[in-house]
Amino acid sequence: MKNIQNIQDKYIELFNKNKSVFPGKNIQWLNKIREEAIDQFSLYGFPDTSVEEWNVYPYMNLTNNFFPYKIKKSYNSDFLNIEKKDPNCLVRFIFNNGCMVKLEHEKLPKGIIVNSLKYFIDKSPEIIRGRINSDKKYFEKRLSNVLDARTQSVIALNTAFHEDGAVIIIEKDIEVPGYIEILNLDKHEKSYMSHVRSLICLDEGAKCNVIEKTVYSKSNNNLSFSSEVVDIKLLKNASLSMMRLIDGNLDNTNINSIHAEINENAVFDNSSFIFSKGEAREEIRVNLNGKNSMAKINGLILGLDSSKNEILTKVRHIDKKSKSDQNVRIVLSDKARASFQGKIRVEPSADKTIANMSGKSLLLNEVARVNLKPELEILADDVKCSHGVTVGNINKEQLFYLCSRGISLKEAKNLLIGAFSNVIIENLPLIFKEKAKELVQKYNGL
Amino acid sequence: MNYSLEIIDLEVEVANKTILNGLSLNIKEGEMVAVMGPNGSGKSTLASALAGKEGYKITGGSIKYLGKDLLKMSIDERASSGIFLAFQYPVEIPGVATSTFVRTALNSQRKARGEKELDAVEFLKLARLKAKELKISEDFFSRAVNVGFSGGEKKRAEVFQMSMLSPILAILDETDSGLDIDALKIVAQGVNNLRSKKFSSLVITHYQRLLDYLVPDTVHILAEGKIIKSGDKSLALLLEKEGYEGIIKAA
Repeated sequence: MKNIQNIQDKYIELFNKNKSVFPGKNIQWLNKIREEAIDQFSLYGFPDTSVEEWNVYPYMNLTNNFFPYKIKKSYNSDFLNIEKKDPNCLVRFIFNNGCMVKLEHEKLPKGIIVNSLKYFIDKSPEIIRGRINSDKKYFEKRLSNVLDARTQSVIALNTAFHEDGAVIIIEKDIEVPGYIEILNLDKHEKSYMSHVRSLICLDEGAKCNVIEKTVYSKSNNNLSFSSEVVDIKLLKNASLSMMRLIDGNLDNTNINSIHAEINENAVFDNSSFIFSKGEAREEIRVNLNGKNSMAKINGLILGLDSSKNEILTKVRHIDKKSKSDQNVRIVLSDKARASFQGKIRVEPSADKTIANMSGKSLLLNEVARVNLKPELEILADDVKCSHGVTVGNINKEQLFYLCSRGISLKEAKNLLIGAFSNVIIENLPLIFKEKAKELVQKYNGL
Repeated sequence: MNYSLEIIDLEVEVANKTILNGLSLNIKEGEMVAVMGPNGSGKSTLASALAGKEGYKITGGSIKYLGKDLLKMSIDERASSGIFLAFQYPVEIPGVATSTFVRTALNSQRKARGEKELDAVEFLKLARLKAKELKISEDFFSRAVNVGFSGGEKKRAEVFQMSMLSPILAILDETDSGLDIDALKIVAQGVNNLRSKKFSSLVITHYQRLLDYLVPDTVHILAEGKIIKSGDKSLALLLEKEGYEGIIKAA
């Protein structure tokens, strides 16, 4: 316990030491957000398993280690071996250890504003003012109406220390051709932490596709801790499709929070692919604020080795006729663990809500473990909601049928695993389908 | 004359219960052999044991396939060396397209035999040809394996797979069950198309009806895990007249 308190104090000390060098150190509103966040973090520290949303397994890497942090001075992408930008990719952000090292695009069509968070903080902070949310916004409102801040300590730490991130602002009625890619790479010789803060704002009627890939270099026995918070706002009739890949190694603890505000008739479609061999956690919170707004959330976890991967969702239906559809598939082998905690909350103001959730898991051996927790909190009267989760093994009859046609046991298993996870790929918007197939194929062979 | 299959004194246990109890049976190259028997006589156990299904424990006897010890071969090796089992109840596999499945199977077999794999175009050409023969519409290529197929469609899909994989020894496990007369004719036609000096088959059935369309060279009657009577196709007709009970008593 003493050790944990020590670590907590060290982060506060670290914050105070870096105060004068954080990006935007002269911007008062930003400083206020940072100060409030570190105060919040100092109250509770990292969440332990007594916090409901964090009770599947303890994040020992976080509670037992202090991760150093240093503001980077120089940015260099030469040492990173990166494949060429896809012709369909309009803009590519490349981040290394949480800082943008390269922004690639040709001349952009009107109404597409993209750059790093650091750029906006330095050059035109008024554009992002009010768009970086205080960590308070993410507190968990319990059924007892108590606001629980403990769940959001990592977001508080991110809010205090954030340095850079991707900013994507699409103006009214602009349809972004192709997609925008955010590539998070990591190349580190020492243990470190990084906190990325991204913003995606779509004005009325705007449409945009975003692919974000977080890919870590090979394990080198140096622990790393990275967090990312993405604040998303979709105005009336806007449409955002996101595909996210998290591929970490066993040294990484990666904690991501997406928070999306969806207004009238707007559509938010997010698919998260988690193939981390270390610890990865993806929290997706969506507020359906407007009539007819819609959220589609897909998740696929392929767990190997002793990985621990989690998906947590919370979809709040706030206005009438809003729709949500959640589909999560989990395949685990070796000693992998994973969890899906899915929540649908229908507020009293959200009659005619349609909300569905399905979480299925496939365990390939007897030691892999999965925790599934589907929750419905319905406070309105006239709604259609469903939720269901399953845990299963590979079907032996199907396996025999495939092998009896000459397909090897290994390939037959892969076919069945592919079929199990295929639902997620079939749900994807067309522009992502082929890319997702490639990704999954790469990780096949469990 | 060479044998494609030689079964000697086969004993098979399922869940600690002896089902086959000293079964012996030979199939010559090019021969069509029918095995008939009442419910529970061990017909499907024979088919499953030949294909190598888990849970079918061989406790005695031997099986030679083309002179090799079949019991030492894995399920997929048996398939690649030319054994095809047409299932009584074909398994549904949601999420796997029929064309993907058949192409994977065909190419796995070709690879195992050291032959060149078929590319998508070559495969499609062959599949279209075979589908046409069996009066199968092409939209079934993209449907998930057996999912939502009617009983007749499932059996037709089995015969389609068989003609794509062109086996040396086909085992038809009650392929006639659940088929109307038109579907039965199409399925029988599919099997007859494969008949040649190199193709042998083991037709497992309850009823003589199938044998009107698939004319066997030899008929065996199986009861209580053993062959109790053998003969030519006239045995099947006798069986129709006297029933299993009459034949079993006489034996």
